[in-house]
Amino acid sequence: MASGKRTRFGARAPARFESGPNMTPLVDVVMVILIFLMLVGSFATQELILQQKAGLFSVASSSARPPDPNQVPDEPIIVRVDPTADGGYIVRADNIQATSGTVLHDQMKAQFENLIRIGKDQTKIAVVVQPSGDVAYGQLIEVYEAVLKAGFEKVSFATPR
Amino acid sequence: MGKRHMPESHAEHPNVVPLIDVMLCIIVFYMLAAKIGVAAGKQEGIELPETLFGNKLTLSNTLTINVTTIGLGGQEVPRVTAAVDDTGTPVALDVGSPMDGPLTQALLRARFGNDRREGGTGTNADRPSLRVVIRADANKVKYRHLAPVLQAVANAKIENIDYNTRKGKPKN
Repeated sequence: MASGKRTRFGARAPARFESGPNMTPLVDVVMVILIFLMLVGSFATQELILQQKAGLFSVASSSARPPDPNQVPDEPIIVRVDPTADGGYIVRADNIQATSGTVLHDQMKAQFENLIRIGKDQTKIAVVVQPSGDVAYGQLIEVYEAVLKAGFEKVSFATPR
Repeated sequence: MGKRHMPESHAEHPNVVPLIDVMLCIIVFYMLAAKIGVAAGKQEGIELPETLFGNKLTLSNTLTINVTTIGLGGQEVPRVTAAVDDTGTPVALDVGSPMDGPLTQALLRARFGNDRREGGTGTNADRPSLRVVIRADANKVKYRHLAPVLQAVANAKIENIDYNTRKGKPKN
């Protein structure tokens, strides 16, 4: 900082310079790193989770979890998923047949609303997704999402057929 | 003769020190946030399925299980990794038998402590609220690869299972 003020007697006071380190390159680099990290953060895809609120449903008795004797479970809705020759999948359940998540969602939602209308307890309705071993995980998650989105809370997978 | 002025370089600059402080703090924050993903036991290179529905991923009291496949003897077999030790780095675990294979044993240790049985304190303490986050490859992993993992999780008496997905774009 320069001090060029005149003194009371008109003489110029000695100038004082405060020449600290030059911060400009540091600020430039830090700014670039900051903008890079912010862009990387904003372009990164957000990750989600689909929660499973019911235990694994076992078809075989070997690894079956013993049912709670105090709570008699309702008969679950079994949703069977099988692969098709064209690389897709087909979902079959009572009154339900779908080959895409959107169609399955609409049909499951109608079924869920029917069950609620006849007085079923929402928390007691269980859905078991029972895929065959050749169904891809991505397709299973599509089915799982469609069932959850339809309103069912207790959705689980079954051991493979 | 004209009046002499101070050179431009010695003119008064704005004080940039607080700006640098704040920027360095933000950089450290972003670098740590990026590091958390690695420490959470996520394996890179897994193509997660896309969903629109789902809850936000939180990584407190969770154990991430990465499931993908490798070719072995002409067929695809599951390859499971999880950060079951204290380093936070995912290690390969053989599924073996879902009843008492290496994966089940590792999950029992995560759930019930070193003694792998209910009860105990300290290193043997139980973690009843432990959540397992399944990160499986959408295309490579078939249900026959995933089912033994789910059975191992069930046999380790871990009740909370989350399926990790990435947020997709709505299809019109």
